[in-house]
Amino acid sequence: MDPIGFVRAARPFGDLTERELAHLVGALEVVYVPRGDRVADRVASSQYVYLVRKGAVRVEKDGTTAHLEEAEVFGGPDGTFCAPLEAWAEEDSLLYRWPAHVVEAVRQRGAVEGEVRSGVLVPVEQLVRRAPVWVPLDATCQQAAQRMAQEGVSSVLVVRQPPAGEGLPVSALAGILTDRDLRIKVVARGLGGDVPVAHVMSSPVHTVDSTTATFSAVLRMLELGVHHLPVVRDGFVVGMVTDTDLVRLQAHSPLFLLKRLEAGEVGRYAEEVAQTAGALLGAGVDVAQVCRAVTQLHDALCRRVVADAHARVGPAPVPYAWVVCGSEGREEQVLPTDQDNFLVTAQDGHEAFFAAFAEAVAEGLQAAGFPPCPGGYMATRWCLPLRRWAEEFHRWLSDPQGESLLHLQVFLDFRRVAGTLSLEPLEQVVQSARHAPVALAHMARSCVGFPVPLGPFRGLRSRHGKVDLKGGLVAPLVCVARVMALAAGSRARNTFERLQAAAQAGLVSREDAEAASDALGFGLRLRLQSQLRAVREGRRPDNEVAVAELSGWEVRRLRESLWAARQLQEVLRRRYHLYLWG
Amino acid sequence: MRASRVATRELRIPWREAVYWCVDLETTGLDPRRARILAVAAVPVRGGVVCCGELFSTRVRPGRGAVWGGAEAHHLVPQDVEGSPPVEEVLAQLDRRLREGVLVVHASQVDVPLLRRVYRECGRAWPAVPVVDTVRLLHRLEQRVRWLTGGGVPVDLERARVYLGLPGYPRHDAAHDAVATAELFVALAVRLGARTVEDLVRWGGVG
Repeated sequence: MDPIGFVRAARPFGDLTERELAHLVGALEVVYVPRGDRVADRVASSQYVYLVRKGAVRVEKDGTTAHLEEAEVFGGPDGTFCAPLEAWAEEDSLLYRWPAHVVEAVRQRGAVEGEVRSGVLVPVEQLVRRAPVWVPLDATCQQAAQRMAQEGVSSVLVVRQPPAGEGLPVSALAGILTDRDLRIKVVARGLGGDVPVAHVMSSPVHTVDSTTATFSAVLRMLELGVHHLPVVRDGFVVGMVTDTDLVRLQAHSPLFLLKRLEAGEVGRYAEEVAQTAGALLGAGVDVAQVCRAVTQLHDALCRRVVADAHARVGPAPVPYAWVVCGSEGREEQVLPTDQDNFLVTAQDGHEAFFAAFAEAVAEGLQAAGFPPCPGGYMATRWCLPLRRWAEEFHRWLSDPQGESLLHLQVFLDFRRVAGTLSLEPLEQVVQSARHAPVALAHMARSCVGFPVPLGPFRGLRSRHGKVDLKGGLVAPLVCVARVMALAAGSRARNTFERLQAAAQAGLVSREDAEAASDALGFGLRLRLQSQLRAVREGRRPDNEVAVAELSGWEVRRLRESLWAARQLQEVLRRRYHLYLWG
Repeated sequence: MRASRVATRELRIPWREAVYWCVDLETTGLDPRRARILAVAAVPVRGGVVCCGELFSTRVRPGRGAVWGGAEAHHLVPQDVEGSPPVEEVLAQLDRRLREGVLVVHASQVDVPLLRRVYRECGRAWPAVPVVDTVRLLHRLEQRVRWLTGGGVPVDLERARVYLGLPGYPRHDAAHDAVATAELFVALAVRLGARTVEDLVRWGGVG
């Protein structure tokens, strides 16, 4: 398709007249960028508006990454099309670009939100509809509620002293009061309207910078468990962004699912979380960030199920920790898979209660779409007091072979999701492993045992035309990163973070760690895409991809990723002299 | 090599710092001694960027005695070029552009001798600029990858573009082919790892 036909078909700037189209094509510049090179830095991305003509581009803004494909747009002056940002070519790419003022002259208002998938990168400031509403610290709840009703908002900011000038400085904020606070902390407790807001407001106030990408704001809300974030520019609050604004921007927003979980609707969770993940991935969100968002949802679901279990079997007699492990512990699980969890209690003597409790939670998780673990790594079997857990961890780590090794590969990636018991003693045991090189070498040996499906000359080695992404790519990387994190004494669980920690500790070169991170991201993304396709087509998702279904560049990337995994294994092999072990 | 008339030191600048004019002609035939020009298009590459805004594209009135041919390629009929400017006028405009930098053509064996003949017929001096043929650059790429892939590199403009991952342009006219050639040229310069103009002239230059 010729440039004018392409711009017309892509309609990146809304419906244009022939004159406007001719104007655009008249100022068109064509850029060719080979894979891996930078397309635009923060300056260029503000001066030009780019349209991906062919290839794939990764754009990064404030820690949020999006993958853009053909016919997608980025760049432009402040705010429009998400600039300033940095963009790299993920494949050899051909891009059209225009000086920003040319596009500004023809751009149709509203074309951005509706038609460009990079909506997840729109700065939150664009969602702000009005100036912030505030009440003084000495106001009563009734006054605050009246103010909210008058203004038609669902939250008010509470300020220490009324601002002197025009704007509302962040430093004046004392807290935030939402309609939820009024419902839960005032009405439900039978308190009257004369309660001072200072007693029920949430404090301190979490804020978000005006240039933050919307998806970063979504993640922040998920992580903080809040529904309102004041938007701050140059030290002043310019407005409020709510989960409703963010949900409106994107169908299948994770915030939408979170709301349903909070309302107790857990029945079709597995299906809904798959839809949400698919929508995020489709919107170009980086797979590591999709995992982060989904982890927050899984955790929220788990806490919900735990709360329901307590309603059935009663409150716990002693503090405990409900712990997830495996991929869920590493925050790398997207589609619900087998439950991997265990229970830690503060002391023994309450076996009957915790057995009933674990059974109730397992049932709840199963009902939500997490099948029981066939390997039996579940709290219904693994429920011990903290002291015993520490002993077990110590025993497994001192001789990591056979069954101990299997236990470690699941349990070492533990993360507390519910309960109040601190797992610090367990952390201590895990951290002490770095002083046990022989044990680490045993674990390292198990990692290099994963055969990476690469033949001679880096050719793909497929079985029946398929490559096992889990066993061949993801598992070796996860395993090596785990050993390296242990050796570095890092507490990170997430593989991306473990690789970073390993590079910081000098256990692996920065380049190798980065290549391994890219390889993991690619493997997770490819696997997730194929699993989501399977779910849509009513098939059982698995871990294999058919090579024939991959595009040319995907095959190239897969080969490079497998090579990176093998290189990482080599690093470990050299470090622990595993050549000598055979 | 005629390119050597340009001072060698001028060619030793980074390739992106030079200006390239990518030219495509539609002609009445493939014999450079007789064919007449029916359409000309030229688009510059500046800073490694194809500047479509500066696209120069026009049809040309071939004058009396033209033997109409090549319609299967250019799809032009005599009425299409009736009101167009004569070749002398077009050449004056083209010449101003060509003198700015390197001339880039896809498959130069017809277009370049034909252009030189027309320059002569119009009493103009051929610009002393290096000429780079993207087909020769494709041959160069083939030499590099043949031992790796065993396969050849297509030299046909459309297929070469697909080979290099560029989008297809199904329409064929001078303007589109000029832009298509320019994109192909930039992709090849990058793919071949050219550093200086001299590299490109050495690999793709024609006399």
